[in-house]
Order: sequence, then structure tokens, then C-alpha cells
Amino acid sequence: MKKMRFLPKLGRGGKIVRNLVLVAGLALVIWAQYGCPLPTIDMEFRRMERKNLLPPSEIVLHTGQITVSHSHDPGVPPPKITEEQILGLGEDYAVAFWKHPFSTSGNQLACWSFAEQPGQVKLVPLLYTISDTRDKDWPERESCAAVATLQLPEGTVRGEMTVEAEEGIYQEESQVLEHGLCLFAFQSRLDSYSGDWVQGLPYTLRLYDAAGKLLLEQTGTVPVRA
Amino acid sequence: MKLDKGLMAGSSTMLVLTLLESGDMYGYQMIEELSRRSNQVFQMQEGTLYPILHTLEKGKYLSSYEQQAPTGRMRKYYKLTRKGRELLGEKKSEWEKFHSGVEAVLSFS
Amino acid sequence: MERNYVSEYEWLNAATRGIRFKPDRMAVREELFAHLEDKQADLRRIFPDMTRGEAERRALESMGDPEALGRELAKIHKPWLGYLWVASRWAAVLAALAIAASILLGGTWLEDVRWRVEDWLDNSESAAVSQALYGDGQPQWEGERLAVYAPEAEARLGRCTISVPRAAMWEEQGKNVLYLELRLSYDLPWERSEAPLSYLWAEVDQRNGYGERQGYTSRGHRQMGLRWVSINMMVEDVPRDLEYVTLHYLPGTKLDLRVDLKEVAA
Repeated sequence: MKKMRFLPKLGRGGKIVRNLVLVAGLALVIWAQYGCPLPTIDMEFRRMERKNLLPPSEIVLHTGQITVSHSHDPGVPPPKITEEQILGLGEDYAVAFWKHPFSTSGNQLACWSFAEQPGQVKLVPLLYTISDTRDKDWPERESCAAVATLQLPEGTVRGEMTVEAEEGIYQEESQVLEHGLCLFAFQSRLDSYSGDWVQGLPYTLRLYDAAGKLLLEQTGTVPVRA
Repeated sequence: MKLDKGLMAGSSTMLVLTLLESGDMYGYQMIEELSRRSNQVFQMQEGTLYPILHTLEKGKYLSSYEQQAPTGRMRKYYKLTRKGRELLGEKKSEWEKFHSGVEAVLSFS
Repeated sequence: MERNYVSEYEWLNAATRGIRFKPDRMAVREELFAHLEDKQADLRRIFPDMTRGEAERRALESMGDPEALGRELAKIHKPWLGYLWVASRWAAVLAALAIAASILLGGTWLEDVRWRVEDWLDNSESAAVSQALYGDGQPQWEGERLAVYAPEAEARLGRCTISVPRAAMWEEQGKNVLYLELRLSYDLPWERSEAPLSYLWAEVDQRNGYGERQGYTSRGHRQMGLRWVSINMMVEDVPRDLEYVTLHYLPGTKLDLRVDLKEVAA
């Protein structure tokens, strides 16, 4: 007795095509599930800018590529900034973009206006996470504060920044990075403080040239995210 | 009588297609049928049949299906497709030309 | 060169060895085996005295050299399509499993769908505030509508057109409240986003000494179309004779959209 066929007969080639189309369709759904993540962080950043109707800014910092310049404990390697963040520079503002590891809906964009900052050097507070490798058995991830400084005077080679907290003064150093900015990464003050502790504190910034001469000293208050 | 292999090979495809023109058949059946129709002139080497059938099926000149034989085993039947019929038509006209050419030479004297 | 094959089994092995993709190999093997069996049955029918072994030997002999046949068959039955087929089947199964897993683990797409359904079901609040702008009836809180405006304010930002099609002034609890309908119309459907709504703010005309104000927007009062998003912004404690407000956006965009409050009949 002949076998009855209810569906159109698909040769092996047809079945392969059908399966691959199915796979493509399902992959698309999965991709959409996670908020349509794009391949590079730059693309995600640009998309975020468009989503917020901002004109494309100049990318001046990829924090994922930066190592904090020195470590507080001797013998322990300085921490690397583990997250992918981007700092973009516009005409009179900066945008800080933070990429969520899994879901694009967790991505964040913070806009900092320079018009509200009186000094020559503009500050942009950033948050970052480091793996604390001091305890090798149980490396912890901590949220830390960083301050990016932009529009530095010509010839700046390194900088020092101090912030005044209740219990004392914290000081960090930074070399000038590509695109002419300094990034001061303040490691965690006390375990209980969240990464934005630097915001709102009085600061003093000193910038030096190659010969060690002081180019600029600026004081003010670290801007707070609205 | 076993004919010259050279002559056989070229026309094997055409013979297989012609057999299937009159109905679906399975491999062994085709060998038998060919022998019967040609009055035992053509005894196709059995082993050469299957490469021909599979090649034709791959080229979509034939399609196949399985049907259960009285012995209980499944037999693979071959069926001529429309594309196969077209090929048969071409082969037949090729053969006609060849045939009349040979005739012409033989009767020339 | 004729080898004396001991059995059909060996012969079949030799003839099909070159077919690498197993399902194909088995199918061809079946077909050849059926042929050999038919041949043997025939021989024994014609020569009733023939032994099984003899019939087998003759059948194999008339099939010919299995190595040669094997080479031909190997050329025809290339395994690549077979492998691709199996691979594509696995891929389809894995993709289906991945979808199931990602749904369980919770991705954003399903969440979005859920929120939208919830919003759509939860119509009451947005109806109330739309009533404030468009309807005749009272919103659910006490107040009196003082005026309705049809400002023709429109500005372009990125690939989006921001407009304020409608506004209304209400008196609530002794204060004047201005409601503005903010509408974002996007060029392309997939660019539609609510994100900008939370960054829009209104600066109130300073004639009477009122300073800058933030406009209040709420997600629950959001309405959407294929390419647009609309929300109601509330500006509290404004003067009754307010002539216009100015809409601003994020620092880098320099949006100064003047929204003239032109009164119209409700």
C-alpha cells in the first residue's frame, strides 16, 4: 500500500533549507529577547545616542581598556576596570555610557552639561567595578568611583586629584590618556559606600607638564548626577 | 548474447528511461523486463544498473518510493518524472539520428 | 580480478563501503540486498536442484565486481548534503531549546510584551488624563477645566519630530495646572522609544517671576502608535494668563521649542 502524503514532499535539500530558515527565525527571536544586542560596544553606544535623540559625540574613552595606574597595596597588581563603558564628548556636554553585561535594556546613558561647570577643566564622574584580588580565594567585585577630566590645558602630562570626604582626604594620580584626558580612579572608600561617593565632594585638581611644572590648579565640587 | 560493452553503455540510460515510460519498476524487475523485451539480446550487467538509476534519481529525472513486496520486504520503485520524460525524448531523437546515420553508411555502396 | 566472496554480507560491504553517510549507505545496501535475493529466488525457481550456496555465488557473480560498483556509488552518494541535513536538524532542535531557555530565564522582549498588555488593560488612568485634554468629562480628581489650547508647536530632533498637539489648563485644589500632550513621531517604526520623554522639561514664561520648572511625566499615561509615542506632561502652579512655555531637552541638543498657548473652544 502506498504511503499517503499530506504535506508537499520536500527533498533533502528542501528540508535543509527549511531547517536553516527555522534556525534563523528562532535565532532572531532569541536575539530580540535580549534586546537586540549589537556586536560592538561602540555600536551600542551610537544606538543609545540615537535613541535619546542626541547627535553623535566624539568617543574619548573606552574604560574597558584601561588599567588603573597604580595599586594601593604593594605587591598586588593594579585593578583593571572590568566593565565596558564609553565616554563621548559633545560640544558642551559629555555622555557616559554603561553597558549592561546581558540585556540591552539595562544599558545606561548619563548626560553631563558643561555649561553648569564653572572651571576650565570639566569633570565627569563615572562608576566602575573592579575585582578585588587581594583575597585570592574570594575575589570580590566592588563598585568604585572615577572622575574623568576633560579640556585640560595643553601640555598636561599628569594630574593629581584630591577629594575631601568626612573622614579624610583621598588622592589619586593619572597620566594623560589618549584624547587628552585624565581618569582618576578612586578605589573604594569603605565597604559600605556605593560607587558614587565621590559625587558632591569638594576636590582639588593639579595638572603638571612634562617638566613637572604646575600648569593648573582647580577647585570645586564634583558634579552630582541629577 | 552479450553485446559490445561500448554500444551498451551509451544507450543504457535511454533503455532504463524507456522501461519506466510504461510504468514504475524496481531494479531487478527492470533487468528482467529488458531481457524479455529484447528477446534475451540485452543482458545488462546487473551491477551497472544501480549507478544509472541513482544518478538519474539524483538529477531529478526519476523519483522513487517504497512499496512492500509479497515476501514482506520493502522494494524501491522508480518512477519517471516530467523532467525524465523530456530527457527520454531527447535521447530518443539522438538515437534516431545515430541510427539513420549508421543505416545510411551501411547501405551506401 | 575476481575475488571469491564468502557471503552476500561481505559483498555488500565492499559495494557500499564508499558511501560515507550512514542512512544513505543503509538504503543502498537494502536495495542491492533485495536485488540479490530476487536473483537467487529466480535461479532456484529455474534450477530447482541448485543449492542455496550455489545460488548465492551465482547471484553475486552476475552482479559483478563490488569494488568497481562501490567506486561508482561513492561518486554518486556524496555525504556532504547528508551531513548538512543532520547538522541542520540538530541546529533547529538546539534553537528551539534555546528559545525555551531564554523565555524561562526572562529576556526583555517578553517583558515588553507583558508591560504593553498590562498597560492596555489598565486604561483608567490614561483615560482620565486624556479626558483632561480631549474629553468633556471630569478627570477622576476634583478640578475645573479653565481652558483648552491647540498649540502648533513642532520641532525636529534626530530622526524624530516632537510636537505638542494639545494642552489644557485646569484648576485643582486652588492651583493652576497646565497639561501638555507631548508627542514623539519617529521616521521609522523600530526607532520608536519612550526614553526621550523623561528628559523633556518645560520652562515657564518668566514674566510673572516664575522660574524654570520641570515638567512631570508619567509612564502610566503613555499612549503609543506604530511610530509614535505620546505622554501627558503636567506643569504645576502656573499663572492663569500664561502665554507660552518653552520645551527643552538634554544639554547637547539645544531644543528651544516655544509652545504658544492659543486658546480654542473645547
